[in-house]
Amino acid sequence: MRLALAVSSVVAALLTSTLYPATVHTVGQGESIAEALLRARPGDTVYLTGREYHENLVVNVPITLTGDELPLIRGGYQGNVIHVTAPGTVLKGLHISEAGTRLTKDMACVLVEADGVTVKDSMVTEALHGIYVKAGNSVQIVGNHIEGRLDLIEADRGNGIHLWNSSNNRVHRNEIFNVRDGIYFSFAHSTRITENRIHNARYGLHYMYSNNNSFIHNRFESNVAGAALMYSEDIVFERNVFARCRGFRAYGILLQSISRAEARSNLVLDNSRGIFMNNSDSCRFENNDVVDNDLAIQLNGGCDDNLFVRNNFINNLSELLLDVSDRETKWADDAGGNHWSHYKGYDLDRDGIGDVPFDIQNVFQVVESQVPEVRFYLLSPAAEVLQAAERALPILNLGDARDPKPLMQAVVNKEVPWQQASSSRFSPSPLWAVFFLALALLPTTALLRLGTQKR
Amino acid sequence: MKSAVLIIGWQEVVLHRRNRWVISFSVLFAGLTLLVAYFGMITSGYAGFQDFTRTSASIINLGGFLIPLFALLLGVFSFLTHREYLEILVTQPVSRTRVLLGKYLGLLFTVVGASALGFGLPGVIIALTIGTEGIFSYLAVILYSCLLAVVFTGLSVLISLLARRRQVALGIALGVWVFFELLYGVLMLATTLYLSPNILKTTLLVGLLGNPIDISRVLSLLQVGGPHLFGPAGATLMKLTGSTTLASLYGLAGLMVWVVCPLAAAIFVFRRQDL
Repeated sequence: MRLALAVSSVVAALLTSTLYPATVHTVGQGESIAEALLRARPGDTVYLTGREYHENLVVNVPITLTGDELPLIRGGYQGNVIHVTAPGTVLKGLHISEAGTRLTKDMACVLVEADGVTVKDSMVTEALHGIYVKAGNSVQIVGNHIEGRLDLIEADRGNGIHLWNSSNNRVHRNEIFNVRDGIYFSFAHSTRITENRIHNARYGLHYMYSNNNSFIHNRFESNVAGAALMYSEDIVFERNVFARCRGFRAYGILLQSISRAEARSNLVLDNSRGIFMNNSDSCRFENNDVVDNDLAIQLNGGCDDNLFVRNNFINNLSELLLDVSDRETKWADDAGGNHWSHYKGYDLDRDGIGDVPFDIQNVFQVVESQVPEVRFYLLSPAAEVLQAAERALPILNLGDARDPKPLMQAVVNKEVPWQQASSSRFSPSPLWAVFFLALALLPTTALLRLGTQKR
Repeated sequence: MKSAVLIIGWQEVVLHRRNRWVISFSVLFAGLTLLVAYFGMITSGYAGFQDFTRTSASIINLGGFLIPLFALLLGVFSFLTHREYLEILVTQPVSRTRVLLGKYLGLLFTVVGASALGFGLPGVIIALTIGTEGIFSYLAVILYSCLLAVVFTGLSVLISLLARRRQVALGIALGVWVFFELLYGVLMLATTLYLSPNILKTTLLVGLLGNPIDISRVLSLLQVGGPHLFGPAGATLMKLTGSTTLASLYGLAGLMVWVVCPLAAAIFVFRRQDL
């Protein structure tokens, strides 16, 4: 029904544009866009040649609003900057800035309340919400740069893109940062999110009550959580990078009350916690690389029938934290389990699968699950000795989390987007290198030379 | 005129310069830390800050292993192998406190100087891979490890004075090393089996202060990986102390107690001792 509405409205927009020959209304510097909008017929183009406009616009005729070199439209921190109510409107190549600051009124730089709207190649700055889609279907948001306000505290910021009660939207190739949530979904179904880059936000993606969604080939970096999936069903995500989420409540991927999520070929790199699941069921993690996290996976209560296969768990400080005993999670299928860099077993029959099952929690992690303070002894010789003793004399029951078919070799999967993550954000400093070289050599030569000269 | 403390300290350093153990330790320590840094930072295909944390953690552990051992052994050798030298020193018109302080400073300079190679070379690699972002954390790691050298030099002086005989002193020194290195941690982990959870939290937290090696390791990791490296336990620590800086200050205060007490005890013993 909703889809039909969306299609019909787009068709209507197309029809009107063929009935009337399209005109281009030019709006120069110092002229009013609102006046041009009054004159515009459906299908017309309003073309901005000026540099800067101070206006809060309502677009109620389906037109194309565009201009030279990102003309700046400033809302003066009042209400919405551009409010689109006409289906099929196109906003292209604009710089939209200064939305109002009242979150309770849902103020946004672009508020879309129509179907088939396109926002592309634009810049959105000083945003509360960047682009707010309120019950609009088949909206395209492509190639935009959305920047939130650093001067507001996180709780007062809005979301980069906010989708409410809308379906079949497409969000492609945007860069979003300094906002509360990068893209927020609430009752937003069948949305396709591709090739976006979201960083320095609270949650990169935040799904609430939104089903049948997918996000593919995005990059989430330095957020509180890369993607937070909550109270939703049937979400597929592939080839994303979740990197460098660091902090007490930081997660690469967070699943809360999710059914049937499917994760394939993602890279979960360098987070405080890689994957967190609470009260989620029937999720499938396959062919992901989970690397360099403080904790690879945390499974809390209420998780049932989840499957982890052919993932690489490499160089994580700890593999698994459970708050209750867990027998329901499956760590292998018929073809085999996962690759764990902490696995110390052997493979005598050379079939690529370790002959000894892998207890995912080592003795230190089991104790740590019960007494968190034990973690202060992490990486201490005592902890290492404890683990070595447990391996030599396995007398403790290390819980039920066990990979019965650990893979000896890491799974090679070219789909995992490593090339996106390897761009290092660090800058080498030769000056400090020289300093350390001096620090190393001066005392040593002093020690060596000392006493050799005659006094 | 130089003060007597410095002259005695200087002589001590010259004495150890001729000791093959010092240069052996220096080369061994540097070789190991360099290997750790090379494999941790360069061949791992450096991708995340975790590599830095892990490398630092390995260097912290290496330092935590070797520096206390070296400091303990060197102190015992210095006092009990060159006993006649000590006796001559004491006959000079210099107070015993100064003699002891001089020898202590000389030992300290030797231990720290011999560790410099092992800390400096990985620093070069870190500076060349991640630059300033990691440098200050790494400097803190060096500082905490050097404080460990200070603590155990003091302990070694005290042990040498109390034991008097070389074999006994060596035995005690090794015992002290094993205790702080391993037994203490194992005992702390063992308490989790017996104590109730409420007492356990404080026991484990306060217990950290009872072992200078633990203090230095936790402070270093706090600096390098941040408090969230410790998960919920880190959150508890932040709640108790307020911030990473304050937590580090508490830890440093604890280390200072470990620096001052053995030295004060050694001076107290030495002044009353009949050689």
